[in-house]
Amino acid sequence: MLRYTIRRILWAIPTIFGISIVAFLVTTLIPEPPALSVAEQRAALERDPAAYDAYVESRRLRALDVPTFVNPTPRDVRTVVADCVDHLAKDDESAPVAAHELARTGAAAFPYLLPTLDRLDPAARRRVAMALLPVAVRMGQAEDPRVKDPDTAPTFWSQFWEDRSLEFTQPAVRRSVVRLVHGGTEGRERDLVEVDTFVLPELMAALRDPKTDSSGLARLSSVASHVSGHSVTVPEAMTPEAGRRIRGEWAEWWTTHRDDYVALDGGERILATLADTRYGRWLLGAASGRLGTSARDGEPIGRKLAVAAPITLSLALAAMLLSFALAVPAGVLSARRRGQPVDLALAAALFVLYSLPSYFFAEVLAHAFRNAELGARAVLATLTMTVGAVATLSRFQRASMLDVLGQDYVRTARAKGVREARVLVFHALRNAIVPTVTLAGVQLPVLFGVAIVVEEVFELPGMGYETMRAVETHDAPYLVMTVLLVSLATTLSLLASDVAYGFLDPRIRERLLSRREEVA
Amino acid sequence: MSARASVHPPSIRPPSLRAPPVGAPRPRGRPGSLRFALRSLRKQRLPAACALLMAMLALVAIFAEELASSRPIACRFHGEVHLLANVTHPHALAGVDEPRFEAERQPGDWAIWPLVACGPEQACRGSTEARPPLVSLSSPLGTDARGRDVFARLVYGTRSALGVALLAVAAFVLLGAVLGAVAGFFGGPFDFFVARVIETLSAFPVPLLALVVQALVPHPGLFSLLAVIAGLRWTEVARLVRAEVLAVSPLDYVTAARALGATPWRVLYKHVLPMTMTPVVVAAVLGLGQIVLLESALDFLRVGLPSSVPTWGETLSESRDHFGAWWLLLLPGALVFVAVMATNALGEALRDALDPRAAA
Repeated sequence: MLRYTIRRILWAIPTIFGISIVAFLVTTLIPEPPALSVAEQRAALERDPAAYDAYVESRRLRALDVPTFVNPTPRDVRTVVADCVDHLAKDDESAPVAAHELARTGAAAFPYLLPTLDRLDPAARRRVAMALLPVAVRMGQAEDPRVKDPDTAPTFWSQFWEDRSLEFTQPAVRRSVVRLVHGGTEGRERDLVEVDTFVLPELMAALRDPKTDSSGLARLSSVASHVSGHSVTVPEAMTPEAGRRIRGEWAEWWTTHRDDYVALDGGERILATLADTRYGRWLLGAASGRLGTSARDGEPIGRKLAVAAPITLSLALAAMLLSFALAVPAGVLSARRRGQPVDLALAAALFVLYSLPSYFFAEVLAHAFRNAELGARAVLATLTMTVGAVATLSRFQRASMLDVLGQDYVRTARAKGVREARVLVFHALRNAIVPTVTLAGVQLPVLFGVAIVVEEVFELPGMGYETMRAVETHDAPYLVMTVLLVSLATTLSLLASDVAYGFLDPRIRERLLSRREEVA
Repeated sequence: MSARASVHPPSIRPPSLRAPPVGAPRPRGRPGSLRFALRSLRKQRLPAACALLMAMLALVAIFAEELASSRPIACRFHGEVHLLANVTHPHALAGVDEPRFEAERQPGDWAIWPLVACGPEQACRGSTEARPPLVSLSSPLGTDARGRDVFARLVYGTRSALGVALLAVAAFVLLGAVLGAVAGFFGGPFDFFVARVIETLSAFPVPLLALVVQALVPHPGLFSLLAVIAGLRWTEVARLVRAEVLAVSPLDYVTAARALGATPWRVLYKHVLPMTMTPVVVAAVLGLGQIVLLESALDFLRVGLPSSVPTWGETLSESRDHFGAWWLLLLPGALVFVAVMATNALGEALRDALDPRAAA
């Protein structure tokens, strides 16, 4: 039994992976604004640097800056530096953009940039050094007159690195961060500002650290905002809730921006070729529970689903129970009276129900009982969902009951003189109900499909109703998450019903364990 | 083909590798069995009636212009004779509907009008309100909330419903048969891959994904609808075909064909594939009804075909805004119901005729 269960679960893994790929592909259907050309980027940067930053940021948040599935050259601080220096040295069309980017990367680039400064030719050196001017301003080094003069700036930075490179080491920065957490003075804050973005990895570690108290959080957050240019509002009076929010906002920012400030090496780089892609980022985000926010009203999708899902699930559950309560007796009865008028009448009635479009049925009910209360509408919705399911289930129950009634042990029981009702219920139905019950797992996704229509017609604010509102507003994040969750639920319910079936029927277990290539 | 290049011809491959497991159903397909089934169905009353019903719907779809159009089938207007103006929409008759024709009529002009002289798109005779059926002779089934003739919309809706269903079924049957057959026949990693894809795609509820795709693609319409339906529904056919191919492949006559030197593709196409077609026919007939149902449900939710296309579901959804307009609810609903029920009955009768065990 354990082997069967484990193997069945292992089988589900590629399926779940495939589901994530399909759901991701749905997100790529949405038309995205095309990337700006180099000339346009340059024009945008000259017009308004803040607007240009917003453009870069928005592309990054939607993961449009990376390839879809494989990223052969994942971006990190080293590649950014190499790229920018290359453009500045050649002084080509994208040199201004590169200078802007270098300034944004800041001191995190120094260990990879300043030691190599001497290798450039003098003109290129001057351009790179001048690109660092905004960094110097941020670090509070701008009083030095040399930094503003193209002729002296390269020497300034070379000397800066000679004097200060010891400060650009992880242990030194960590010490400063710890000091700042314990108590803020202007000097301690300046220590950190002076190493600029190089401090970010340690700063983020301290922000994540649960031992950091709320006043420490506020100080860390203010330094982080200063060096990164990403502002997180810190209220005057810190509450635990505000602390959580600040931690969360920085964690989210860091997951998308870490690669700008940290060099990847070895395994991390290999991992990043897969993780730093549109699919990778999307999957990691969804897997870590960050379902995103609805494009319609900015509300977190998780919170929306938490309100809507119980309504749909209770409708589905009620419909399922009701349809079992109706379908099992109907199936048993028509199997017992096979070929007799009762069977034929039931078959005809069920066939009609089976072919009845559920939205039509729902609409007819809605017309018949207009202005119904919420409770009454829920009952009508359940009824509609039952109609389709009852037909499928009872036909299935009839077939499986017929199968069992033909077995020798049932004949034996009758021959022994067991009463007919007892034979039917205790001998036959006990076995014949197993396949029907496991059908519940398969019925769940079908019921969800019906729920969309039914909730729309009866205006019940469940998942289906919300889906329709999202369809109207083209709310892609919400729709994709719904697709992902519903299909995962389908896979899991199939898994559960297979395991349950295997638990109840050893023949199924043997079949799965003996044939490898056969798909159910 | 690696098999052809190898030392052992494919015929020597031991059939036991592909032998179906003990207890698997024996292959059902026999040459001519489909014809046999059809012949036996012709004697039964219900399937024959259903087939007749579907044929009538198909005729309505094909000859929609002769049943309802704002242009005459043939006419002489201002001294010029136009034939089949309802189909060709000649420039000379632009904007000329029945009232205008009568108003501008000159001596010697004549016209043969369709059954209902209204097209599905425009309001009929300038009326802009919902009128119940049988009130006026010119629109026997009434008009919808925008004054459009319900009869015309249902007639052209038949064309949309059957057209989408036929195209979608053709697409997914073709896709499923090819992928299922190749996967089952050649086995190996491709088979494993197809099996996983089938499992993955089966986890998506078709209505939900169709809804989402229609909401998100830049130009939702017939093509995206067909792509979603075919992209998800082929798995069912592929499963059937694959199972049949696995059951048929180890049989002696297939081995004999290989021994005679037939290439694997020829064996598959000539000897194995024909045996798998009977369950596919049943799946296709049942699929027709299911897709009519799905498409009309999507149109009902107004995310199916573009709103300019007349469909049953669209007419039904009009009834939501007009609670008294029962004809907008019941007439298209009855049409969907009848079409779905007829294909279901036909498909199931066909299945029972093909597979005696299922007729229990």
